[in-house]
Parts: sequence; structure tokens; C-alpha cells
Amino acid sequence: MLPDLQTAFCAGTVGRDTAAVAALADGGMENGHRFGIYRNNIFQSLTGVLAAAFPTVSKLVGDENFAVLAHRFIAAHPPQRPSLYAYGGNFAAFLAGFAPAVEELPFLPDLAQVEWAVNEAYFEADAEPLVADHLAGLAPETYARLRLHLHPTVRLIGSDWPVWDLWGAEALPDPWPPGEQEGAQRVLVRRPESKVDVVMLTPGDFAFLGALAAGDALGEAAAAGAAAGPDFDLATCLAGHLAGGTFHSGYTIDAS
Amino acid sequence: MAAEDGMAFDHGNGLAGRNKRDPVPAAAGIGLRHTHYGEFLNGRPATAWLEVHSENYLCPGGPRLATLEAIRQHYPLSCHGVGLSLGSAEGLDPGHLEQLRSLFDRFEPGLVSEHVSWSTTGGDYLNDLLPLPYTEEALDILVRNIGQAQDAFGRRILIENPSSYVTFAQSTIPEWEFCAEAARRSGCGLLLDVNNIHVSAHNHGYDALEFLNAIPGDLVGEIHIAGHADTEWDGRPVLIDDHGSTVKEAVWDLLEIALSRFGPKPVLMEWDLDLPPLETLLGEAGRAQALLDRLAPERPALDNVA
Repeated sequence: MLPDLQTAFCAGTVGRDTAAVAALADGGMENGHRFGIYRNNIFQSLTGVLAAAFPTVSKLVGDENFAVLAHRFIAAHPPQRPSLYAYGGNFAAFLAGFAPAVEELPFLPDLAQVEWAVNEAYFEADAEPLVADHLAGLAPETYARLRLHLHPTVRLIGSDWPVWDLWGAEALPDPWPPGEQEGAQRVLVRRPESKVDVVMLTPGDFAFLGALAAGDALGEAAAAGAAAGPDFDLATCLAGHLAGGTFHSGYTIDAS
Repeated sequence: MAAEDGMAFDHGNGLAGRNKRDPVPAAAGIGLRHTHYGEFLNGRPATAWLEVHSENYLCPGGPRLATLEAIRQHYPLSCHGVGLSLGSAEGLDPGHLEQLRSLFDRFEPGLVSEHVSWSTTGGDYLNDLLPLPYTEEALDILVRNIGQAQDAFGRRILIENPSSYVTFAQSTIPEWEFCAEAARRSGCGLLLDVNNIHVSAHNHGYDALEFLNAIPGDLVGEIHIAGHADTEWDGRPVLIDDHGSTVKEAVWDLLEIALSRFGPKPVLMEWDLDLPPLETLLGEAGRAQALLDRLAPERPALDNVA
């Protein structure tokens, strides 16, 4: 019956279950020596999808190692829908749980997060960014009650590793590993128009934007920014992110 | 050259674009791939129509959709699905059907097609066009799923004969009858892939002409051509349908026979692996157009809009 055949085919390809392939052959599959062509097509095509979404991870571990990682990931987490632009969202979490990879290259999961954020930003719904002109008419006393919303393409990633330096790298930075102090980096990913930006953030700006993302009003978020970075300057930060398209056009103002 | 359909269009007004849902002409077209976006955004490459893989455009937003929107203004479009899994025993994914419906509503393709194969089981999507046993059970499932898809889309679709590497002893219906019967029962049309016919005929030891002879020409709404690899698997020769090279002579021969038998049809040059420069694709499409011009000079517009 067809449901059993399809279940066995899945087990024999993605699951690499040789008993399932033997059962298919016993059930009448002809030219079963070619069954591996299907397994090969599935793993190769999905490895290609992952390599396109995680080009830097792939570059830094090398093609052969990446294929090993991808094959393990595909077997454990086959796609759950045919829209493959969305395949790979849990690759970073998979890498974090894969000891051989993180022991040697502990930054890999965070780097994969940055690459996935770039992928998500690229395909996310389009939206109008907030520009300074939108706020020009606001009375200064309303600023503290302003709620800015991040543009839907924005992703924030904080890492103990220099992920901004690593993103797009052809090789590990020299010297490697970096000293503890200069190692940590925070990254903002956004796509206000057609191009995806990957921006390094100061600790203050990162905390400020994180607070906005969590729903804080401007006053509270500014306090969070100042607490995280002594050099945090609200006016500079706002001007830069308004120019860069970090916010969504739909801001709100709390009742006083 | 057929391509003048695309060239003759007046882009001067910038906005009006083509009539929406304009039919795909019985002429040679090519698959639109990301690598060639730039050439289509900066110029009007000479091809009569374009085909895209529907699943590549199911994202919520971003440059990919915007690019297709821009290019669509200048070419008739066909949406070719690779992920619907019409042969799945568990039925179709309603969410996926809904997303496809939105895509078709937005881009109004002249043709919509899918495959006589399956990809999804137990919720896992296997990203390949997997073979069905050709049984009454599988035919019923396929016909039911095609009906559900056509209802969801509000339009007729075409189904493509697959290439395959294994077969099943429980099959009771020849592949050509299975495909034609599915089309008859569901009211859909056929996308005849002559490369797939050649690959499967070679791999399974049947005569490609027997396949072509059994196909009712009035059901054929489109023809695909592509390259395949003549290689070995497990130490034995096999043809693999990899869409990674120019069309082999045996496949050109089948196209010639199909066109002389079925009359003018839209013919698509497919290429997916190791994509060559656009000129190579256009060259292959040009050869197909020369065949169309010689064998089937009149070119009435075909459309599968219900």
C-alpha cells in the first residue's frame, strides 16, 4: 500500500535505514541498487540549500566538514515544508549541540545565528522604515513616552565571539583566538529596502535596541543603553539608526 | 525567433506592463534562475516566455519577489511547482496550497504545473521527485490530490511525467497510461517532459516511442527539454536527470517527433545544475524554436486557464 511504501522510502533515504530499503526490495522495488540515487539527491540538494544559507560557516569549516555537519542535520531535522528559504532555522542550535564542532570552533553557533538572521531578513515581509522626518513634528516632552518598533527585518545577536569580524570571512582572523576583552561583538541585521545590512553595535546601542525590541518606551530603553555602555548617547544612536532604517514607520506614543 | 514576443513589447510607459494572465505562447522559453536576474533587469533577453519554480517565491517579501514582479512585466510566465507532492498518500498540505494560490493570484501565470511524483510523507519534505508505483490505489490518490489543487487554485494545472531510477513490481499500469488517465479523470493537462521520457525509457528498458504514441496530443499543454547525465551508479550504467547540460541528440529527436505529432506547444529549456551563461540557455531555446518554426509554423496561444 502507498502509505507504507512512502514511509519506508523516507526511512531508507533520510533515515539511512537499510532494513527499510531491504523491505522495499522485498515488496517489489525493482532496480533497488539505484535506490541510493534518491538518497544522494536529497542529501546533496539540501546540503546545497544549507551551504547557500550559511556560506561563512561552510567556508570556515571547509566543504567536506560542512557536508558532514549538513548530513547529520538533515537526517535529524528534515524540512517540514517545501519552501526551502525557511530551511535551516535550527541549524545554529544543532551546531551548539554538536560537540566535535563547538570544541574546535566554539563561535560556530553564533556565526550561524548571524547568517540565519541575514537569511531571514532577506526573505522577511517588506515594511516602511521610520525616517527622521516622521518624528520632526513631535513635541520634545513626548520623547520619553515614544515607543519605537524595530523594523520587522531586524535581528539582534550578542556573542562572546567576534561574529561581526567572522561574518563573510574567508579565514579565521589572525591572531586567533582573540583575547577575552576584544572578543565579544554584538550584531544588528536589517533590510530596510532591498539590501541586507550587518552592523556592529556598541554594548550601549545593543542594550538600547534590545530594550525597544522587548517593548520598552524610549525613556526606559535609553536608561538600559546608558547602563550597558558609559559612552551611550541617545541622540547619536537615534540619528544613526533612523538614517539606517532600523525602526518601523509605525511608532506609538504612550498616554501621559 | 519567438523571442520577439518579449522584445516587441513597448516598455516606454514603464508601468502598464503586460496584460495580466497573458497566455504562454506555443514558442520556446527558458527557466528563470537567480543567477540571470541581472540580465533580465538590465535588458530584455530574447525569450518568448519564462518559467520559475513556484516554491522559490513563497517567501513573505524581499528582493526575490520584487525582481520577479519587475521581470514579469515583460514576459509571459509559467509557475512550475516542485513541492506540492501530488502523489502523497497523506494528501496535500493546505497551508502550501494557500501560499501557492496567493502566488498565482499575484503573478497571474499563464501556466501552472506540477509533477506525477511525491516528496512528502509523515510531514517530512524530501526535496526530490520520488517515484510512485503505478497502481489503481496511487492513481486514485493522485487524481484526488490534483482535484484538490485545482479547486484551491481555481484553475487547471498540468502534470509532468517524471524521470525515475527504480520501479515497482506491483505497478499494473504503464507510466504513459497512468499519466494520461490521471489527466483525463482530474481534468488537468499534461506537461510532457521528453528528457524524462528518454531517461526513464533507458533506465527501465521501454521504448520512448511507445510512451509518445500513447499520449493524446490535446491533453499536452507544455513540453520540457533538458540535459541529463550518462553515468554509472553502483558500477552499472544509468541516466540521471540532472538538468546540468545541453540537450542530448536523442532528446531533440523525441522533441521533433512530439512537435510533429502534437502540433505547436510551449517548449521550455530547463537547466538547474552548474548553470551556464544565459546565452547557452537561449541557444538551446533557439534550437527548439527553429524546430517549432519548421514543424509547427502556426503558433496559436495556448492557455490552461480554466
